[in-house]
Amino acid sequence: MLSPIDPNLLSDLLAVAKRAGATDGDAVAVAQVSSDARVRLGEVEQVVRAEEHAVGFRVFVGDRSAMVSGNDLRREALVALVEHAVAAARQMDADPHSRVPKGDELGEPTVVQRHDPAVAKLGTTALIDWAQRAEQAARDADSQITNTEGADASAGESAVAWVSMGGAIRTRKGSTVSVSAVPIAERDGEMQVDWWADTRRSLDLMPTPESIGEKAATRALRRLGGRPITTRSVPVVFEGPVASRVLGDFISGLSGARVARGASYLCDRLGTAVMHPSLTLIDDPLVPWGLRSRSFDGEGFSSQRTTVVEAGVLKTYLTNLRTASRIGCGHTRSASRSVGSAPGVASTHLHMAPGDDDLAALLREIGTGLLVTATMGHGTDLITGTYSQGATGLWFEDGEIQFPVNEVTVAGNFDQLVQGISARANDVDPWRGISAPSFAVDQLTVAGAG
Amino acid sequence: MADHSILQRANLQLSDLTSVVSRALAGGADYADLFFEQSQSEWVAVDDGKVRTAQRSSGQGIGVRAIAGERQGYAHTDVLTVPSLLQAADACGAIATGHGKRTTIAVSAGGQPVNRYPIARPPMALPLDVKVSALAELDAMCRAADPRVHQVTAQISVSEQIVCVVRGDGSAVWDTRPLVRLDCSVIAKGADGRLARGSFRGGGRMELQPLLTPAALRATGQEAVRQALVNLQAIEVPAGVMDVVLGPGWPAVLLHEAIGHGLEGDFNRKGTSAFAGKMGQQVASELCTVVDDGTRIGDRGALNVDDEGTPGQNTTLIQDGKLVGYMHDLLGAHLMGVSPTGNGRRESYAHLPMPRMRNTYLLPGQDDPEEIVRGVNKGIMAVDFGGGQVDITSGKFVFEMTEAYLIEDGKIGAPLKGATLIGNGPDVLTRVSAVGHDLGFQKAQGVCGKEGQSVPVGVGQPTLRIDQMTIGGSQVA
Repeated sequence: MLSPIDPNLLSDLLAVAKRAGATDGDAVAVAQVSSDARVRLGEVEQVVRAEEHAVGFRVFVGDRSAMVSGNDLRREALVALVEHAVAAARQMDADPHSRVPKGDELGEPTVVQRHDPAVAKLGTTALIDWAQRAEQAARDADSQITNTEGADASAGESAVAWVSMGGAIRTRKGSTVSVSAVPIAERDGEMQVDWWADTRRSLDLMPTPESIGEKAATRALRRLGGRPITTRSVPVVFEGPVASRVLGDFISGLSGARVARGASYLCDRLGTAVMHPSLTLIDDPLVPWGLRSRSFDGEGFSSQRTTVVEAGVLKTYLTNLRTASRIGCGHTRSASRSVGSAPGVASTHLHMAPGDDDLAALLREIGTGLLVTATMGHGTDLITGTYSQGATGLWFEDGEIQFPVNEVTVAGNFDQLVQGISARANDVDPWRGISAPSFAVDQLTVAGAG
Repeated sequence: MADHSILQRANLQLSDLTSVVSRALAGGADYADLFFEQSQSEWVAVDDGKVRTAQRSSGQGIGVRAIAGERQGYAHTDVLTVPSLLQAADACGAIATGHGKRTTIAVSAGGQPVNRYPIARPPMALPLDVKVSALAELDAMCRAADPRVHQVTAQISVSEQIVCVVRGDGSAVWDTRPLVRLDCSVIAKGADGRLARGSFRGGGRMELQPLLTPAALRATGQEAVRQALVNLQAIEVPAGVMDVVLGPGWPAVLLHEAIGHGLEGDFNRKGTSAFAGKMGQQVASELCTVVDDGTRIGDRGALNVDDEGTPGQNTTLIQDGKLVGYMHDLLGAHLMGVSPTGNGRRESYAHLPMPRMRNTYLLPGQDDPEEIVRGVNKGIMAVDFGGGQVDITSGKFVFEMTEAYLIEDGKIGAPLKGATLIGNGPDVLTRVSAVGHDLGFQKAQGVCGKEGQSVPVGVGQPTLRIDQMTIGGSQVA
């Protein structure tokens, strides 16, 4: 059973901080419960039940601040923690850009659907059943699915509270349910693994476990028989999930926290072209049931939509209070917050608009090139703007898939890559937090055998 | 080393914990244990010229596990009351429902107590102001080192994890693990506005003070600045197949990813590793001997005992190119009929243990490192890596190089940017054609991820030459 932490406990501790000399502060509490079942080859492998709580405090003494967090909720333990925070804050450098918002800055509370009470009622038996069905569907998909790393189903709910020393209180609840399968395809001694997972906030939105298992199997099977191609410059099509990773890297480069440190090739690019002119990006935390949706940000501000890129032109960086002040850019209410750290910056629900036709039509339009279906590594260097990833995919000619490709890298200039996204398919996954359709890029370097 | 203070702080008796484990066994499980953890950590950072962020956190929790056959039930909570723990025991013990034949899982005796963490006083005890002034000094040193230094970020992380594993027989095994780390990252900006990054880090299971002496801070800052300035001159990488020389120390992260993960017992028991079924076979050139060692004093991956109470040890994985051992946790060793190797690790009480690496390194050979470079006609010298990733099943891996150079006619040439190295795990060590005598370790930096759990690890190797690897880059040669 979820037992949310009483916001009054946070208010009480912020009052203790004030008596110890703090001039301002805020606090975050998270409570969550979850259940997880994993099966392999039809048998239950693991069942896990978790119950977690944590509170974190940020205290200011003038322009100086420090953070503390813990999960021992006995009052004497928390008093020691906040008193430590006040003492630590006094030793830090002053930062004129950091502050806690006043209650009247936060905006009218918004409501976003993100909690389905039915999720918490799912028992272990139901989770085991889902995981078994997902795995069985993967094994039934083809005789070449000979083994699996298992399938998993989990469900959980959480409650978050934010409280300021000034008396503002915000709370929200959320639920998530997730099923994944990791089948292994085998042919002539070659083994290939792949996976698929779907996560939703509501049971009603959950696809069948069978569809997840089948999708995972299809992904593993199509890797069989892959080989490198010789090194060359070619058009590259990024399939939706990989395209979404590219979009995620791009949006990280627009984080005010990164820009304030000068750690992005996108510094000094406000008002200039940063994407293909056909693209507009809107960060929307208010999408009902969105995985990254939220009614308030990590600093208590009511959520709002932000147009980040319009017709390819950068309109704003994503900012929290501090980074907006530091880089002199508008405040977009994009604070992320974990219990133990100072507010960061993160996008929420962010989707790239789809094209008109399906992926097959996109491949026909491009003609010949590499369809990248998975990437490995963390090879987007946002400081230098260099993209270089290990890749797996399918070689296509005249729009038709020819053979699987693996053990190659795909590399190029990241700025040119994003500005070169001209053609897109219509396959955006509406439930992924950061989501892009499959898209094509004119020329990237594919390195392989010789 | 028992630290009963964590029991006192939580208002619990050891007998309470033993009764919880007994309760977890009551439903018919083969084995049950309990993992009790208290941790404290502090993180201080200088960013954008100011030491403005300090975070301190403390956490505690208990995870109760029951094993029945190949099934594991696990329940964890941070509500440390006896009723809450008994509820967790019932929840995990339910895994044994319908479990027929009961077997016994053997655990290693505690052995002689050892201490592989060379500290005179807990690093958490060092006052905050010492860290604040060290970071300010480091920031100033880096900025003064060169006018092209554009931005400096540096962090000090200190933590202490006290763990206690309680088994069904009432035995309890304790460990108190310190971990410190200093990270320095510099962004240099060229006259043309171009940006480049350099970094350096130090640490291990040691005290913090040796990293904060003026000489140590200067060395850290100089190295980060040097690498950033080198990378400011870096040219685009020629893509294709080339001979690669890996420098000593951190480039062994390739060994960790490409070979190490594939030798974790769980993947091999399930037949999902590209190394499955290759025991006793030649999987590397005869020049290669690889170990996973939890006994190196002060290393990030050092363990007195693992997270299931098995004593830390040094495990040989590959001997003269032959595969001779996998890494095991308790359950995996039991199911494969072998002894646990002390590799049962977990991120925290909120996670089940799995076979994980400690400090994985390749033993030194006979070759002179300079001779190794001189022997390469056209290739790449990789000195520092970012991260890497491996697909255990197909064996494919990928790495990003953060400091690398062209080698032409046996000489080190221009620095390279955006270079990626790819290959196949079971294949890569068969291409090792030279092994230097200069074994180096990186004991400060490794964070290994598996199934969403992170644990600290060390890696090491001497200079290695690997023939014909694929280099990913943006220039078609």
